[in-house]
Amino acid sequence: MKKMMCLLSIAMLMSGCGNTSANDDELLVSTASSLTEVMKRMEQEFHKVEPDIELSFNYGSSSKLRSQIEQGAPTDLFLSASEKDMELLEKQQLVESESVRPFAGNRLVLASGKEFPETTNFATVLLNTEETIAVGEPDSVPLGAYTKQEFESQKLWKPLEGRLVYAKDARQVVTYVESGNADLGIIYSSDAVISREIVGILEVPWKMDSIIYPGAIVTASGNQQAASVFLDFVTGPKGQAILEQYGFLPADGETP
Amino acid sequence: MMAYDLSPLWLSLRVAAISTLFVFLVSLALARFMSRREFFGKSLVEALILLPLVLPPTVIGFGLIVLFGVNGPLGILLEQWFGFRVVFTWIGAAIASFVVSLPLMYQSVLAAFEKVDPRWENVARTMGVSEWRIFRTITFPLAWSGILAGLILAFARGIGEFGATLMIAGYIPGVTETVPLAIYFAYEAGDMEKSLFWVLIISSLGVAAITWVNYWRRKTAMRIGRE
Repeated sequence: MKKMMCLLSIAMLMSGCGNTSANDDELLVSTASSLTEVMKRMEQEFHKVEPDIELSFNYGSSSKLRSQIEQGAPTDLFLSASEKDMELLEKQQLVESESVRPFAGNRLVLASGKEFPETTNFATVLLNTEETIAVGEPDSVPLGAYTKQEFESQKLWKPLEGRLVYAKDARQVVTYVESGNADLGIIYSSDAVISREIVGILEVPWKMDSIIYPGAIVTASGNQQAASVFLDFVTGPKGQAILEQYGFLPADGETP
Repeated sequence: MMAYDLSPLWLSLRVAAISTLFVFLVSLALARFMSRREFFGKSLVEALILLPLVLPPTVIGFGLIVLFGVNGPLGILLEQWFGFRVVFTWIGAAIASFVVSLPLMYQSVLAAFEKVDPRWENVARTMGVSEWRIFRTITFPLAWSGILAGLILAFARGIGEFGATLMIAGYIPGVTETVPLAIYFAYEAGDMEKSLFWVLIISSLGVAAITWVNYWRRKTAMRIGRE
């Protein structure tokens, strides 16, 4: 009898959890970790226009978010920091192809808690110190993949490899630099803009196509209507203005 | 499947071995002290020793970063006195392992010491044997089976440490990449085969350790029963 009661209460608990997520106007947005701050602001502004749609965000590296969607995570909208992860989902038809569109751009910078001397350039700073350099993990974090691509194009990857600390997402690289535990880090320029602790910023000489953030509606979403309303808001003039304020570049061809 | 670089395994074994060595010394001293003395606030001290058992790894990692980080009090001291950094090194990983496996070892050792009949020690004392020698020749051998069980558990726990390790030692392939970190990042990168490879290795290590401890316990229980 006791066992029965126990099982019953577990079943009730579980069904309870199931019900809450079935709310029609609640959107779960899987969002690249580099968008953490800007999305808080985005949510406030969006709420003024669409008070009936509740947003919740699931942050992480874009490739982790992608594999969560592949494994059936109940996500409505995917805001990715990499086109590669979006393309992989598109191929499997896990996101709506016609909904895919770029909403922001970004750049890489070398960041430090201390000022760089004015005359220095990127390669000399990196090669003339013994310091640890925080970067995103290159196989699983888009920021890391971009960093690796850039380092390789500058022939810096091999000489620096033993000094690189890999972080699990873009935000962790920022934390490593802000806390001083890593002296240098390759981060997004948008993260450098909002950080107070990071004072040294050096532009990374850019040899490849710019970084594009694409967004798309998830095919399995039960609430595509609301998801598209929010995606429209992000790509619309208001959303673009907020993104710009937080240091993002306008998305190619989508600038208002 | 064997094409993977095995360095995470060697690193995990090294980290766990070094941390277990320190866990062994510290928990022996602590347990000996705590089993003999009564003092004000003893329960609180005991709770602090056991706390890492119930704390989430992120809290332990956070505490370690605050203490041993580049701007943390112990981090600054170590850098000034010995010129080495703990953050983003395998020593950081060993410290994380030490903190999480100390309570396991401490509990085993304390229980083992409490089982030792104080009459043996008292007899030796009446014959004027020194306390250190009593410990070496009577208490330690009598408590040995419990101590050994604790050692195995501490070692296994040290190999499995993940959360705090990632926070303080970071992820530097070939330098601070332990098996749990290898699993996490292989999974994040979508490399299920590599994750599985390491999961199987670390699981068999864990199963072997626990099976051995259980076997050992049963064997010594039988021996004590016979005596």
